[in-house]
Amino acid sequence: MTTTIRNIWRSRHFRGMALPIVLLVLWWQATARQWVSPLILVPFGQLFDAARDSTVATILVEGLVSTFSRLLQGCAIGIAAGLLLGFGMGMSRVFDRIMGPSFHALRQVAILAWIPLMTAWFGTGDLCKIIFVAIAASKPVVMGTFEGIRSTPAQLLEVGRVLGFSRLKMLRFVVLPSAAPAIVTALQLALIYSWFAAIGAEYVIGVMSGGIGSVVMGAQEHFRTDIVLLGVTLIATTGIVMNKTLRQIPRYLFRWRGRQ
Amino acid sequence: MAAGSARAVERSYPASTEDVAAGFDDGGLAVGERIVGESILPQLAVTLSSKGFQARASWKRLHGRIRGLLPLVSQYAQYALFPLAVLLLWWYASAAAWLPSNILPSPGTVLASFYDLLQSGEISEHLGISLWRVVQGTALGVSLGLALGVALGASPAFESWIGPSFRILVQIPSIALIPLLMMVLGIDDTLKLFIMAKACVIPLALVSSDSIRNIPPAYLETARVMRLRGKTLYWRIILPGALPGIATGLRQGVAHVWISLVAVEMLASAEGIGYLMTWSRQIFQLDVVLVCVALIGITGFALDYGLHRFELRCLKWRGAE
Repeated sequence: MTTTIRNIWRSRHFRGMALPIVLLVLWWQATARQWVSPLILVPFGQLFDAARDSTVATILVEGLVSTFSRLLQGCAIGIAAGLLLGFGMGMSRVFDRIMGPSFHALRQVAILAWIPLMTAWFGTGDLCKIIFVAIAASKPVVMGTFEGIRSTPAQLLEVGRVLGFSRLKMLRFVVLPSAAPAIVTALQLALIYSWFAAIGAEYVIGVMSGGIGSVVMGAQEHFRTDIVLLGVTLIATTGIVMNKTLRQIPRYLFRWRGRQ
Repeated sequence: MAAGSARAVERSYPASTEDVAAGFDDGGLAVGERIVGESILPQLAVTLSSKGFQARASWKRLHGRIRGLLPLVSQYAQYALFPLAVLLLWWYASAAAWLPSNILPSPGTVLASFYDLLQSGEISEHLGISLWRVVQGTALGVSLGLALGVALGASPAFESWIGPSFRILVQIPSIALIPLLMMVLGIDDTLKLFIMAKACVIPLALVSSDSIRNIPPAYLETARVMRLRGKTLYWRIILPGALPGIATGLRQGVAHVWISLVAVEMLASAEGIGYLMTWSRQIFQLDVVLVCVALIGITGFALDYGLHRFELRCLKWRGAE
């Protein structure tokens, strides 16, 4: 008997769950005994009601879908642009000299700081958000592609040169396979970054812009803590799930490389 | 290397031109006719005084040096090409009024408004507030992050209790939490401090716990041989061993602090550089917005660069190994 208790006490799962459970109990007690205003911390009951309420669910799901559709468009543009720029900078020193300094200078600006300018230039509609997501997505892609190509082992390049490869063949058989893992990691980062960039853009642009971020912002202005809480949880969970899923992809793709 | 050769050319350049000028003057006098073209030069080379000959040689040398300079010049031209093209396009677009001037201010307007903001002290005021917040947030974040990181790295028991929750929290960026925190903490300094601290704690705790766990085994073996214990072990072995990782974590942490501070200031603030930017956007002063964007970039770069120098300085002792 005591050994089972000790085993449970020592198990990683029990210990990992302990803190969240303690926090949930604290939350429950705090709302039940009215330690804090229900405006700040909603009772569980209200949260469940809100989650089951079909209008709330519809708003949240619709927001999620519209954010995702913009995310995919922006991400596709951003990844394409990022790959072009990254390949150009990685393959050609001249192109690197032309574009590199500007790219690295613009990279220094905190990404959300572009939003005021972009809303002035492209309006507060979909276009602005798609472009913003594209910029956010292209950053890691350019960096990853550039680094991946530049760090092609010199021995491999030499082998290619000995075999008399043309530039195109060199790219296809030497540079690309060796840069592929870095590029895939970069694509994975691009998706995660652009998810949170899309959310950040919706927060900053505000209520009128559609998407789950603006739903949450609107709820915050109306003091619907339950919706805010559900929305933020949904946003965070989506991010975590994307992260987990995307991490599986390179593992599957690069089995042939063996130990990394 | 390239810079060295450029300097050498600069040094030799005036001397050679004088040589050349003097040489041709003398030569002209000696022969009594003007040098017209290439065709008489071989003849001249024979008849001219030795000084003229020298002039030709030094001219040749100069020519060679200029040709050596060409790749360098073209390199700088490549560096300048894109920024200049953008600047030119920008200048032309605003001069030809492709877009209304309140949407696309001219480069001159942006410079002028930068100067105005600098003169009126508005920039230093807002930037000062933001930087002071960065200092506060970093101080709080570093102390919490180090404590958490050391605890997570050094104590497996603590890791087993807190680690899983921490690793979930890591995956949620601070920006996503802003609306929720705005409800719980209000929009005062507490909110900014909390978000900055969170942004700093996470990379710092992550990296420092990792680097404590991965201290080179040789260090620990040495410690065991020397029978170091407790405080000495921590101060002499663990901390120096983890220092490179901690320095990297600090740099990442401060970069995150700056990014999240700008975001919070844009969403919920009445002062600071992020606020200045959103407010200028609302009254359509895009020149001020552009100045703010540039300043945010420069500040981010300066923070990162400064910490990088600090990092190198702190880790100088490792070079001797």
